[in-house]
Amino acid sequence: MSESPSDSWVALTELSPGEAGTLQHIGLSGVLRLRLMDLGFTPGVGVELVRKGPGGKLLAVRIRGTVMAIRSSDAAKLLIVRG
Amino acid sequence: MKAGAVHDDLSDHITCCGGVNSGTSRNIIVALAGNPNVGKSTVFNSLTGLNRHTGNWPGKTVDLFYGIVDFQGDKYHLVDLPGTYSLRALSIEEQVARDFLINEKPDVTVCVVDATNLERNLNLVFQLRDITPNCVVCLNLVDEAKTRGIHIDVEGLEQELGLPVVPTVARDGTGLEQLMSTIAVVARNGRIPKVTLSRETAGVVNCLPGCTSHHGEPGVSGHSGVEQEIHEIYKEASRIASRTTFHAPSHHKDTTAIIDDMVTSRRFGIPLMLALLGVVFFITLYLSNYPSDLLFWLFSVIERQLTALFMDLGASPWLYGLLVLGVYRTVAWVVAVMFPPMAIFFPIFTLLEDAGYLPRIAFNLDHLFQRCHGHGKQALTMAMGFGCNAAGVVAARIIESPRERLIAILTNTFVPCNGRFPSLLLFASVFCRGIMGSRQRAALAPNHGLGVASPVQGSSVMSAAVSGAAVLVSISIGVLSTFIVSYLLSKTILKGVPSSFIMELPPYRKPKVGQVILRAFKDRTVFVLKRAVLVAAPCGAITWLLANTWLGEQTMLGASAAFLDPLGRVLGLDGVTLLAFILGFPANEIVVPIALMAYLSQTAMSQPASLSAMQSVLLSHGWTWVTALSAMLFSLLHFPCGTTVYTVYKETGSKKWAVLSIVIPVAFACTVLILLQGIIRLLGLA
Repeated sequence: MSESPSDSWVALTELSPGEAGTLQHIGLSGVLRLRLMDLGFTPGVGVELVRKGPGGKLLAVRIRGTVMAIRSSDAAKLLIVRG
Repeated sequence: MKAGAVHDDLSDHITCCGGVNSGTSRNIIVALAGNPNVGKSTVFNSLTGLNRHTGNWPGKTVDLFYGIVDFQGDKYHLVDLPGTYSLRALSIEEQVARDFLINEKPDVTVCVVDATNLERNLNLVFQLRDITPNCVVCLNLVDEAKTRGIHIDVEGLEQELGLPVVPTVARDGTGLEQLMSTIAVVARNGRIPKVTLSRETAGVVNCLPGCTSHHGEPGVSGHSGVEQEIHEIYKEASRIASRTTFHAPSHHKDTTAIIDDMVTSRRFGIPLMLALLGVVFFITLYLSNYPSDLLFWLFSVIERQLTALFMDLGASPWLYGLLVLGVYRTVAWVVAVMFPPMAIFFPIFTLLEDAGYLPRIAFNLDHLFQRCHGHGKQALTMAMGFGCNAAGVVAARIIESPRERLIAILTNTFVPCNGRFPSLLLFASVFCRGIMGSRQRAALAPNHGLGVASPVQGSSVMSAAVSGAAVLVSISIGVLSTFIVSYLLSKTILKGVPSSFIMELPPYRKPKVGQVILRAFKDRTVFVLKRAVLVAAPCGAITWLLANTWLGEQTMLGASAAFLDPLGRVLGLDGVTLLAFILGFPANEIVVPIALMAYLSQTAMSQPASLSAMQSVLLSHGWTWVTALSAMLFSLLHFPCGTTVYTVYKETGSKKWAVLSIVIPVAFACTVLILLQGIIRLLGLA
């Protein structure tokens, strides 16, 4: 890859509903990091932002065929490449 | 050998050793595992019928449901493990499932898998395969997969996994016979050795340190190792899923997305949710009046027969009073008031639950929970609280963070359980009559002659609508109180920042209506009613004794009510109502019957023979719309019942939290009611 990561990696929260990308980096630690990975959030997996919740603070994300709700404060730490 | 390790509760059923042939019939323990929302409970219910039992398993104070299936002359004890995505013991549910598998060593473990979503489900299959020797995969929802154009090569999957795979449609029973015979074969012979593991799979199996470590050791210690392992598992799952799953082009419309566009929409999500609840309350109130009146009539007929019988036998007046006026009447009232609304509300609620609506409520409300530093899944524990607060307290296990779990436990009582729900409906009807009564007195005069029928019809719809709205508002107040108290707790004794939260939004599924109605009836309606009757009978006797033991001028009941009266008045209630709430601590269901008996003992009134006559008893004893409103709020916000307090103690393992689960709601309820009195007086409303 010629591009440096910072150029093409965006936070999951940057996506607009209906947009998809590939998960690159989980900027979280501890139990939540393991929990997310256990649910299939492993680097390289495809993710799609399905919708945002009524307060805009919760995202519905499709991953490995399942729709998961995740708080935007956590989703901001998941870095992806669009497309 | 296995039976020896099983707790007494279960050893009643398991008389000989598990898995060992003792001549005639064997007892075989089968664990049922699976991700949430894959139809695991449908598999369980379809196999076991409605004969569920609770078994208290050793090691943990956890009750797991089990059911017994007689198959080919053997007894299969099916244990329903909590639905989990994994066995890494990152949540209490995962810990429970893992502990059971490791400590109880079931003869066979069935993993229910969603055929529409093989890849994610294989994560659990791999972990199970490593933890237990005899595993069977139940590939459920194959019908749903078919309509989505998904075909799974079952034999290929068996080869890849090295496990028997049985395709099923649990909803209509397809494949369950074959599932049972596969379980039987595995129980008899051990894992079917017809396939050898593929090399890649075997590699994965051997590198599962998190699973082969000692039990109860959450696989958190060596992070990078566990992460590597998860990574490998998903790589393998993804490989197997893509090799065995074939997607045909399909014209299947994603109905879940269409429904969610409305139901979880940023603008309409919350209004739609309130409207839906309002309609449910309206239907419940409107339909339950008729069966309630029928039951009142029936019970008054029986009471007359009983009275005649006691007269004929020449029984002493106190025996008659104790048994008929005390025990019989209280039980009859509990049944007549509670049964119809419960029999209507709980099936509707269970249908919404089974269709997959509850996670959407959590989704819609999470931003509010975030603001009060609570957990989004608290909404799910609240939904469980509608059934029973003790169940809601137990359900708080789904919340991983201990701080937020405690907040959910301590505030669960602000959701009216089904013991309080019918009293809430009754108070709402009284409130409605109180308000309309004052209106009607002003505008009753010109209404006579023509159109007699339609105003009557209109008014019953009208009063159901007004009462329904009153219940909806009071539940909204309960939810608001949950937010306020959660916020206060997270700023004081349970300080902390909101933790993360992740929750599946499963696809909507058409619930199996017949099964749901039966299950709601048996698990909720009959269960709660039975408990209510068991508590109501002795409480009825005690209340009658108190009401008929004279202390000078007053009965003991009258004296206690008079003693509590000043405090009751401060809260907008009266002494009798407050006393009824206190005596109702064992079970909220008996609050209304105790109040009625206390009122009736003050004046020599005959037994009310209908729901409206019952409301009249309250109205004729000084109840106004203010009293009814205060009673609704107190019922909504006051201390949880004895069972719930005990459950809080069991779940938290601390007397302090059990005591606080009483003190916090009482303090809050009193504050709200005193404020309400102030506002009403200030505005000159009453």
